[in-house]
Amino acid sequence: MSNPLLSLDNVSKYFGYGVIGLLRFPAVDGVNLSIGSEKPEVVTIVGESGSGKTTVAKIMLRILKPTHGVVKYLGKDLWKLKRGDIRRFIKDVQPIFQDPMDTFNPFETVDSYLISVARSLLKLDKDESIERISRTLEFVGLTFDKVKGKRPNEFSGGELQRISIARALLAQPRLLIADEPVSMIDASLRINILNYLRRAKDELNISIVYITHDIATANYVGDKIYVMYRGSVVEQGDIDKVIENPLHPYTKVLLESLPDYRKGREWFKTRLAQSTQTVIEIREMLLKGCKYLSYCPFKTEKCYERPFMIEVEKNHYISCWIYHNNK
Amino acid sequence: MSNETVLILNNVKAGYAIKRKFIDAVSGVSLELFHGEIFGLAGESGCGKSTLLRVIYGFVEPPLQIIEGSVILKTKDEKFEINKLGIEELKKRVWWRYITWILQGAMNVLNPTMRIQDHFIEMMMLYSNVDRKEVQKFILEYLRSLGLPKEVANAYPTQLSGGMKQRIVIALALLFNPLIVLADEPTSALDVVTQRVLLEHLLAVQKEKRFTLVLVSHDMDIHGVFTDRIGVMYAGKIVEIAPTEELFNEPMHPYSKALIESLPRVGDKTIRKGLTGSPPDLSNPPPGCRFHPRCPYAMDICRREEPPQTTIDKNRYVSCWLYTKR
Repeated sequence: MSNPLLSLDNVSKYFGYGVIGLLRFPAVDGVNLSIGSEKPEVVTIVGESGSGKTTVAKIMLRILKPTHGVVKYLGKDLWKLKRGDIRRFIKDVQPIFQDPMDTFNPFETVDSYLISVARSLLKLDKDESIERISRTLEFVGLTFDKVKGKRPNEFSGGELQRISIARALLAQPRLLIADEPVSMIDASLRINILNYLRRAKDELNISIVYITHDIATANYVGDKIYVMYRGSVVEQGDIDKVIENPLHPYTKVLLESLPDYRKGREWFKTRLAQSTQTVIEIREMLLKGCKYLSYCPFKTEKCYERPFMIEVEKNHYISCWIYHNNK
Repeated sequence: MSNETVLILNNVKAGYAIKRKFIDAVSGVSLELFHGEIFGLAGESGCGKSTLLRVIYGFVEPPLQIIEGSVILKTKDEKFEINKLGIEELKKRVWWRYITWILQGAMNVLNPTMRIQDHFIEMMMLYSNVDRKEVQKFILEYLRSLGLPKEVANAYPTQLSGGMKQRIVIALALLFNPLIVLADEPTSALDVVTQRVLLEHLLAVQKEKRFTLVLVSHDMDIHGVFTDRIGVMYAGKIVEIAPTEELFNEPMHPYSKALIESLPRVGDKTIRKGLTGSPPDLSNPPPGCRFHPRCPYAMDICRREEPPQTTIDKNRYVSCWLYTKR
């Protein structure tokens, strides 16, 4: 079996807090994740704000160095790559950020920025760059003439996000890391961006890490899902299996609290299996036990120890003591 | 929901005059709100939802101005023409008592140096001449009646989670039993689980106190589960008003159709189509129907003339030439 394209092996990232940052809490805590290199797949990471999704994205992009654990790119440690390999990594793994306005330099025209990307990453001359850019822009339904001489503020958010997808595709990457790419986009245009991501996988054979707080969009584009809670992955596997048969108490609550217009007022009738808590405590994060402990209605003595991932069915893993006991 | 009207908007036009531009954010909105209903305002960012709330509340300060139309609030004994009252007068006679407004990101209005109960006490003292001790007792009882835990009263805002802070702000808004509560994206800053708990709370309180709730949200799913009636806004106009169930079962305006059809659903991977183009610049809206550049059904007349609001049946209105007899 060949090496995975990108893998995270028991990765943690600690951030300091408190007055002088002496206290530390794990934003990402023991995450294992891998993206296969054999066929393209869309891996989604779902979680609430503060669950460590973006930190994982930054670790994958080699922007943040993990405190513990190893990130591997095609079997090699990402932080021990040689210069040539780093160049290849940058070309192969491309980001799409949440706010398209942040992706582009406001003082530079979009076309000159795209040309400079093509020239530096692909070593093309100007005419070749323009031809390549035109082709990738066509993929997202735009033309080179439409972006020529315009600055980022002259585009709408939806258009600019399409251009930033084109920018990422320009380098002919093997992996796109999209961190909440549709949360700033208008509702009527969101689906278009998601459709481009789907086409990138189907037609260009690109794997995608899609990070979101919205399970509905994750389900639309994804093949696999990782559900994160306070820095740890609580459930993972094939997205259809996890969504049809959620097993972790948190995943259940997350899916039940997703509003669905088809249910109407009936939606309020299903009771959430969650105990409420009024005051937030950061100490919980440092606890050795299960992260979901303070909200979980099924907790037992055992839950004060950290659970680990077990396979409950093929391609469906969960980190909860309830299922350890059943096995 | 009864048939008693509490608020009437009559062809309201309002916008922002900035430099030499005029941003036409609310362009001829007519609407009636009934006692005890939950009315949802749906639409994309920048379509004028929040401006419409501001106009209803009467908090109109430059650069915002009302060009024409009237906003009439009907209470049991009085009738107020909100667009004609000044801010001082509204403060004395209308705000808090009849209308309250929960701003977007309202949980940040709490003063971090004051305990939660002091926010309530200050507010009570401002509007009535009662003894502080008595007020304190009343507040504790009031918080309990809204299902807020006792320890909250003595906490500082920073000690509370976002969802709890939002519930406190809602409790503040309901302190004087208002007739109408305007809630602008009350859950947009919250996580889905917290959002669900808050919506449940809001619905329970609304059922008990029977005020009219205007809920602004960009999330169609929230409207689907929460509201009784929906108004869909596009580029400063309400293009369709319908009872929630009817709107979702059978959307009439092409824009509402596109909004609902493009929603991704859990457990469904069929390819969906979105709209092309983007919403117009409100300082220079297109002639005729404002949706025509993006509309798949656009006809000749749509490019020339603005469609009137057509009554389909009781409680159902749509502004589209497809449904208007010429």
